[in-house]
Amino acid sequence: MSRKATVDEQIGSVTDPRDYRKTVIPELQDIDTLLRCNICKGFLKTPVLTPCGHTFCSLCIREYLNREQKCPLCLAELRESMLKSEFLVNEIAASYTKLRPKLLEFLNVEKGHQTQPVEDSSCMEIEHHLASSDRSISRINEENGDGDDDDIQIIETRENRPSKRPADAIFASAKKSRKESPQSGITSLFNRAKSPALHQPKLADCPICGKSFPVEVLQRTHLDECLSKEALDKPEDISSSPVTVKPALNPVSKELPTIEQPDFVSTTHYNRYLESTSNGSVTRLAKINFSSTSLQQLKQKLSSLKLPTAGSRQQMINRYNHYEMLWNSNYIDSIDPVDESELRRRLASWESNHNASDIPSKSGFISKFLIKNPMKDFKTDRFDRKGWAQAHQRAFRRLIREAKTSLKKSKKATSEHAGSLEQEDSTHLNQSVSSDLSAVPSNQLVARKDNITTCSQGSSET
Amino acid sequence: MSKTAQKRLYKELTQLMKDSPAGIVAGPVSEDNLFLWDCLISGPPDSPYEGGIFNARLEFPRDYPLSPPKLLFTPSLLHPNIYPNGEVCISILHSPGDDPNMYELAEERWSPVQSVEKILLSVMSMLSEPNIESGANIDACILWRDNRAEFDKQVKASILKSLGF
Repeated sequence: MSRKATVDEQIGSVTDPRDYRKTVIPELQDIDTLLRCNICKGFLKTPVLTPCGHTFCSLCIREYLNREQKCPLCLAELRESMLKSEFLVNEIAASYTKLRPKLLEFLNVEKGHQTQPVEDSSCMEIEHHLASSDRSISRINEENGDGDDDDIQIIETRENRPSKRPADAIFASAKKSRKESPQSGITSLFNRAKSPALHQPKLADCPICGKSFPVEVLQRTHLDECLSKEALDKPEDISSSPVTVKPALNPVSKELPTIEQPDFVSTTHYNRYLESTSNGSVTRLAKINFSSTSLQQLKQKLSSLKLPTAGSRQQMINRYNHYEMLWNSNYIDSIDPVDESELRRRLASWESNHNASDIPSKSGFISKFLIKNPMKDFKTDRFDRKGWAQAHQRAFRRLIREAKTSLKKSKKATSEHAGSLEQEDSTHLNQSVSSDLSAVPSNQLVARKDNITTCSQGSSET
Repeated sequence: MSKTAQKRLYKELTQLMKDSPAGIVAGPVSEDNLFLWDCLISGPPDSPYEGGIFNARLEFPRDYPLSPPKLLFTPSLLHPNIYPNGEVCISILHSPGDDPNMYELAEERWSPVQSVEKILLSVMSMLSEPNIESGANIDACILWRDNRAEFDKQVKASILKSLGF
């Protein structure tokens, strides 16, 4: 059930470069694609650069390098120690990811209304405000002079609401982008996109004189008139410093700084980039040659990292390997590393995830071993025979014991009832199989059976 | 790990749904299990397989995309590079470390940067140009090399049969 929920969550969060295809600027899908990791197809998270010039998420490439020491793109030789973190790309991707939904929504809307003539932007903003007249805040602050107009209360108070109306989002993005890059080209682009609201054929009150008009009329003639009067009355230069002007105008302004502050701080990816330094204080965790490490040493190593020492040897090895990956990715590559307890939490969640995977019931080391070893064919060199034998040691012993006892019994049976030998034998066999079944959770057995069938298929084919 | 796999499979699915290459349809068998896909591949024009529609099953490993998926034609079809049990044998489906036949170039094999779309496109091109150097079905290889007319005839017959004629 919980798995289902997370799956649904993920459906909602799946983004795709082709989202841009239907917008005014389909070329943006190129940028969108470039900012993605080629392994997970998500946006780059803590990107690292290979010596061959390719960029991947730190965790993705480290995981891949654990099995194949090559660049997945060009197949050049690659070692984990060669990876270099890319703070700049990290910030670009992060800031783009944040901007993306707004950008997309914006460009999407614009396409449908491209033919709409560009009008005085202040007019449209008011119009826009009218279209969504259910808002509690009715005050508008508008000014006309250089075309850089704003409706600050609305933007700022609504920006962080979870259920944004599309119009709000558009509005907010226009506002935001202006804040980040106050170039006239982009501003005008954003302004142009506000036109969609004009299409809603409804009556609206003029915010200035308070009378009702059809939207079309309001926008084309009436507002212009009202506005030019108004603008003459109180010319204000809001664009120069929206944050300081706003409190003076807005009755609910006391809350505003707290709402806006986190957003503002988190958008300054440039500052984060400037402040980034490589983390020299924590050393890289080394890989361990497990074949020459005793169980005792392994446990010591784990407990020195404050990791649990429970489970089989294979489990501990997996645990160390994954932790080593998390650690190095965090302390070597990340622009702002989390602390060790967070890493341990991630490791724990990875382990529980890893064990559960798609199999509903709890599973032990066997299924874990299977998952960890995707090479299910016995014939390949990379099949870990020793690990397999170890993981199934108990089952093998049991089978041997069962076989021995059934052999003895069948001998007896031959001497006593030679006729019913076949039947007897098969029951023994069934018994031994079923006792084996009870010893190992059924899902693992299924997995094992699969494994055996694939293996026999494989060998019969070649 | 399987979370990464699910996420990535979703992405590939949405991408395929938005625009899949001509002659290819693919998607999960059921919504509960993203690791098993059904695909329909139409036979490429100017090949013996022209006019046919072939059903195939894609099985993704838990650690996808680190390991390649498996492709199985159901039912199997007569082709030099398809095992009698339906399993497709092309280099893109083999991971670099796993080369039972020792002839495939590393750069043609699986790496996480490949995708379902690329696999299915490779299968299309495999259908139009069999590679008998690396035959999976030896009988089909011999037939294809020595008696093309008979090969074409058998393929046509099986296509007609599969379409219910």
